[in-house]
Amino acid sequence: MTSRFENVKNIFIDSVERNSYVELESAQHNYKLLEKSLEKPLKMILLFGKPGTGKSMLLNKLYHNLKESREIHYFDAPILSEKEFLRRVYEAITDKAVPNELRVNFDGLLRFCQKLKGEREIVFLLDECQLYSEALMEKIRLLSDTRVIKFVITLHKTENEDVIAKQHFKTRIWEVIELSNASEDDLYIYIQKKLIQQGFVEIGNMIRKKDIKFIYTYTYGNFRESNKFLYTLFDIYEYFDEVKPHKVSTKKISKKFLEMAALKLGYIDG
Amino acid sequence: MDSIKELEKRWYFYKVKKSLYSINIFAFMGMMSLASYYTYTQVDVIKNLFNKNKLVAEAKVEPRKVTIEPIIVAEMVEKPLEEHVKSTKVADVVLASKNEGLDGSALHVVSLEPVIPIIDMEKENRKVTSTKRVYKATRHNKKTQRKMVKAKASTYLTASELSTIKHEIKRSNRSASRNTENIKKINLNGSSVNYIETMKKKFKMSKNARDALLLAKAFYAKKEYSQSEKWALTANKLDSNKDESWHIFAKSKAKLGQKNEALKILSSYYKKSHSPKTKALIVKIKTERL
Repeated sequence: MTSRFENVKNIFIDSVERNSYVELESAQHNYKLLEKSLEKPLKMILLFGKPGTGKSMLLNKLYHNLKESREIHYFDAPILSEKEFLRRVYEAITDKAVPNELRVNFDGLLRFCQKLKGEREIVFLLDECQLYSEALMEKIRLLSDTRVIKFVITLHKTENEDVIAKQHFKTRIWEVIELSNASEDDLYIYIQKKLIQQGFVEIGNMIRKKDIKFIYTYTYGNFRESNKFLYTLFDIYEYFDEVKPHKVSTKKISKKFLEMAALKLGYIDG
Repeated sequence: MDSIKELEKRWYFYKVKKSLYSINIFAFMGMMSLASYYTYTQVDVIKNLFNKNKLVAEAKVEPRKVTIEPIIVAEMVEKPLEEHVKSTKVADVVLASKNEGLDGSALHVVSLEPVIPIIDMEKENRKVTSTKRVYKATRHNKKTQRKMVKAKASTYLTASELSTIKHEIKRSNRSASRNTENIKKINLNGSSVNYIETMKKKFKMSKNARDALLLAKAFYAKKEYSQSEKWALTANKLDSNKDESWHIFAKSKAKLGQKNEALKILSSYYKKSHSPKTKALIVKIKTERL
């Protein structure tokens, strides 16, 4: 017999699945901003923020919402090889497979794109762009200069990458959307919505604001960290539910379990 | 599963550590509050001292030495008299004086009332100026004397005139001395219950050797020798260099029938002070002319 907490913990596994997307006010605002930016004659749009702030989720949502209405392609994993990247772009534009023994010539691709000017507008969503080489980034910029391909790229905001971002994008007319961690209230809504969306209303009722406050103290509202915390918490719940069910209260979240989760994740020293 | 068990153990350790930390914090806070309370009480004493000095300055009264630290006082005051007293029955008196507020803590209390000036007629030899009558009499006396001198200087008087003048001078001198006696009586009337009570209150606030001595004198004048002995001892404890405290104490002893004790105390003090007054008092007591 599986514990009821097993299913609960699984909803907090870090993923960018569309059905796990939670509509938050701040995320909604960023999404609208992104949509509007796509309408503008911009060459590149930069999604910028710390890891776990929802950049990939936003790209994923944008792709699924727009894939029916416009030419949009989503590269969720970074393509580090230049040859592979050009091949994937060519295939996406032409809808033709390139034989393995052949390679796409960048100049040829550029000329092809220039020919399409005014006829088509193709959007490429590139995740984890901090992993792309500078040479490849330069090629992406040149492709975007044709005004046929628009790139929406995501970058992690760390000290070094902040410098890279400045170097690459500051001088160009690009839209920059910065994503930040959730506030305490946003985190509460996020967790509640996530549980209710999956039908765990009772568990949602168990979580009080002070529990969120406790989680927030360690995760600072970072979605990835918070998900990890909740996964660990319900993992502990699952164990006690199976081994010592008398110790599990369904009325409220146990402070002991919260502290154990924090201990396990190294937020507090044991 | 095992990892969760292990995690639970870690959690128990964490809780113990947290509790110990909280206990330490509480203990530290408690110590801090005790320390601040102690400091606060000390600051209060110092404040009182400053207030007292301020009041004294405002009242334009001669600044007096205020004893604050009982330990310092204890070191400063010589206690030979107390040592003598120990051999006699005066231990009771010491206890009584403690009840009067001479214990260490009481010495912290500093008077905030203005100082009541006390006129000690015998000691200070002040002129008789307290009543109009006396003043007039003196003035009249002086005038007469002046006149007489003038007369003597400017004219040659006959023998009968001279005898009249001499008679007049004697009479006026007598009236003057009578007035002085009156003053003394008035002063002694001042050593009434009210005076003693006032002095006691004053002493309670000031813890001054002079006030204790005045009280001893007042009791001695009232022939309450046990009280005068007690207050003389108190004064001596506060300032052992005052001849009078020794004298009043010995006199009281003698009056209480402890003549030998009195002589013993005075002799030992004389050895140290070589005071002629002390010597005279020894003779007085020996010859029972007290």
